[in-house]
Amino acid sequence: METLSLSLRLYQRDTFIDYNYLEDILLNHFICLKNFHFDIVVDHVIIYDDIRPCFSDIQRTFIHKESRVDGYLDCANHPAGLWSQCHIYSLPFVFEYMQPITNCFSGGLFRTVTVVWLKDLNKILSNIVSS
Amino acid sequence: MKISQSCPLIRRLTIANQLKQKQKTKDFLSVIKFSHLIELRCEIVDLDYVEQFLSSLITYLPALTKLNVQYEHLVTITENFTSDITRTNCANLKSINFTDVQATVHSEDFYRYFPSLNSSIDKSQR
Repeated sequence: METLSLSLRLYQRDTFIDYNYLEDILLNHFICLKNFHFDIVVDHVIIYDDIRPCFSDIQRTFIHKESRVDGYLDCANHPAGLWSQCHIYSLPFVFEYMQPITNCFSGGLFRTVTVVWLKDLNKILSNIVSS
Repeated sequence: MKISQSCPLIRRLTIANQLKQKQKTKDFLSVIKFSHLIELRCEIVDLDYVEQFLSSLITYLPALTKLNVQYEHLVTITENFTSDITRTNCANLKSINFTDVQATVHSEDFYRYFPSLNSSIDKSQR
């Protein structure tokens, strides 16, 4: 198999997913893989650490070969710590369904997308709805 | 509106936001058009968002035929199915699913407000 398209949403993990993790559990099994398209949301991640996670750190692990990668990290305060969602996707975007987006969605042009779900992390969607 | 620009071919939109907007945005430079939006799902959402999407002063939804919404929200937004401001975006609705009540007996205003609704109900019963 030369092309893999992965649209994935995961909940309630302690960590986000980066490229190294995907490589270990999945991509290394596809020896002939040339194209990897993805749209991944990791949702309801509770960060107990004082250090706020940084999207560019996650994004950096995905950047290699010719693929472009974009996304965002959304955080909200939660009694147990920092409640976060990380959304990362390859460009050009190939999926019709886009994993749930929050008000941190950075925009761009997604010509293939026909189904969208707007949600919030304890916050207001006004940036998305009214900007 | 960012979504209408980013996803120009969007056909189905689901909104899940229960929190009230801090500041209602009333002054839009132009009406936001979702040319291909067939289905709008406002199931768990604050009333303001329903208003933003159904008010023709803010949003134009020429293809909208399917709506999921709380009955009470729809009554309020349409001023008991009489308001002209939301009439345009409701005119082509063929299917409305109420998330908070089961099927109820509707008024004449209701059926006048959704003129496309009856025919589709008839068809589904045949």
